[in-house]
Amino acid sequence: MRRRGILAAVVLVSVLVAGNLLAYAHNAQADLSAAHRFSLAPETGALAKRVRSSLRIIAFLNVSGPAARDARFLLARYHELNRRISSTVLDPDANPGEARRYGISKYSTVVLTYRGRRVDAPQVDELDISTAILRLVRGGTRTVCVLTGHGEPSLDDDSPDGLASVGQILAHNAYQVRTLDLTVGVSPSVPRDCAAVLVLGARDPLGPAEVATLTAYARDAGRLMVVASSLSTADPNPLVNPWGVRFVGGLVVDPQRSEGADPGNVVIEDLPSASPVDDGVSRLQFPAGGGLLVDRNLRDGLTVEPLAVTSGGSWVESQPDKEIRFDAGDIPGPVVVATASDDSRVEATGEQRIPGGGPRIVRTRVFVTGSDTWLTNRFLDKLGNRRFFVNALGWLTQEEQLLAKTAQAQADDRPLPLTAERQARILVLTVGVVPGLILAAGVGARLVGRRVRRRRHP
Amino acid sequence: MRQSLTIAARDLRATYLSAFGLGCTAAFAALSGVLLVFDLRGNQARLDLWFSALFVALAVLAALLTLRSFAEEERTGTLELLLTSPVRLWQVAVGKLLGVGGVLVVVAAATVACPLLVAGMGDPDPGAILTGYVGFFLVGLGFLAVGLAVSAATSSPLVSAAGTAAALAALWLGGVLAGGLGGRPHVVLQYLSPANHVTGFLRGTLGVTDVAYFGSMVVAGLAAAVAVLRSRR
Repeated sequence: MRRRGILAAVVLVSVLVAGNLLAYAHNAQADLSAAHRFSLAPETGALAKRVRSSLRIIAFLNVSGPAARDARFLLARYHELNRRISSTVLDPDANPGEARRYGISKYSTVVLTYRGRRVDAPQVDELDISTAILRLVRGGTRTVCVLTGHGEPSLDDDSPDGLASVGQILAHNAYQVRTLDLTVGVSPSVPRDCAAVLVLGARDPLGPAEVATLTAYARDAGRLMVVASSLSTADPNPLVNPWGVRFVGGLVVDPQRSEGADPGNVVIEDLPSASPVDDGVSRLQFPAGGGLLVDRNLRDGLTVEPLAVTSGGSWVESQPDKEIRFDAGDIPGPVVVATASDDSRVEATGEQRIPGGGPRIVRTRVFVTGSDTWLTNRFLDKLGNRRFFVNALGWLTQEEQLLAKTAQAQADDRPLPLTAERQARILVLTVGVVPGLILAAGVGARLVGRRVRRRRHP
Repeated sequence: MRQSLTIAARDLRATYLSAFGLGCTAAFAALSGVLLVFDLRGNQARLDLWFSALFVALAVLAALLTLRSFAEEERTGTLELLLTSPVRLWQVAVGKLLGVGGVLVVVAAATVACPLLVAGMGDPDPGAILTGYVGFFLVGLGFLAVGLAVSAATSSPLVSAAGTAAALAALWLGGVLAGGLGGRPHVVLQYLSPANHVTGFLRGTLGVTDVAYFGSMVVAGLAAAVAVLRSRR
């Protein structure tokens, strides 16, 4: 009997320990907080896995405030993702030595250190912390060059038609932005450290010399993003034709799949490609876009993937200024509005990674869309547009797990000034009325019970 | 299960026909109001500090409620009657837990006025309030199960209450002590501390680890109570 009891106790303890170990190892959680403030994005999870040695996060905050409590909890989520990530919340006033050591002079600064490197984040929210981790893990920033000089929307412009949101995505993914003006200088060229060149909605035509420079850059294992503007006179064809794509212009309309009453505000649900650019994207909103055609006869080594295709009820309206109706001269749908070209070829010489050189593989990647409106601040957060851009950027620069998460307010500010009147109301109700009702209900129940008993046993 | 429910109903009725049960519930409701005023001094419509203080108060409540479960019954001689009746020991333990769990439900209902007041004055996070109450029940049941085990082990209500409070305080403070340690002992002590498992409820998340922890506490408490009762039968 005693042995059975001991055995049962051992089995029970084993089951409880195993259950808790299992839960500890795979801590799933449901986040019911407002805006799911404490759920980390899958990209953050993948990023945390890339941390190979101790990464320390020190958040300098007012430790008695709600921000510090939330920060501790959020940073603990990073620790759960990877035990090599540890965090501390310090009050710079209470720890002046530590604050001085890290050069902290104000609240709300976060210092991350990894393998002797240091990156600061402006606040404890997922986007800022993950961006800082990405910078630390990558070991530096990469440069993307953005073509200017043709009336392109600015990456600093936070108006609805500007590209400030694109600029923020680049910054959050540890890309340094360099403007590239090929209209000046004697023989301008693309700097060697450009991980990619972005041509984002040029309004004016590119000069022949610029096209030649960009084409030469692309041919030499370059990475090019051409976001054409259907609202401009600039013809992107000289830039994209070598990569199996033709911009047909016009206005893509889809009366059956568009938002609101505007048939040109097209919603795309057909993303047929297996390309990583389409990963995690189910729908796109491409307003005011022109159509693209993919060459049928592609040269060896060049592949072009249609990334986004409109529905069969759509067409390219060749005269958008007149009545929107399918007629002669229009191109029937489905219409391709985004493509990814990949050109791989072997050159006889040029390999630098092995002594003595040898043949090298040259790989060019070009991403083209027939609209630039989808990238503007007004539309970037519509449907899967943000993810699509981030995927395209990652595909071009061969970076995995870039952050597409939208910046969200992590500070949970819910002001409620506690006035004397409010305090009195709370105390009267909770210390007076509720306990009084409980006691009164209890006394009432006893009196009723006593009366019932007296009636039954007079 | 019917026997457990019968025991639970009998205990719940006995609790609320006594001044003790009514007093405990009314006092907890009043305490929740005072704690709310302290919490709102941060001028934010957040209830995380309020729930966190209630979780600590739950330890005291569990010690008080469970002292009647076995220790008081033994003192008055009714425990012998219960243990010699044709019910299994686990049915007795589950019935006792459901009985004090019923009190927990009434106590929780008595505090609902607080979040309602805050919602009327400001804009609290409803998700965090929901998980706060889920935590309230899980933490409460875990603490009550520990209290039942201690209560079953003694015939003195006073020792039962003090023992429960001491056991829960030891668990809670284990996490604080863990701060000075490193390696595995640090991880184990941190994990065993309830303080480490309530933060998710306060912030608006429900983690499998936290639910598993308090679920294990309930099972372990009940198993310990059954083992003690068996040795005394």
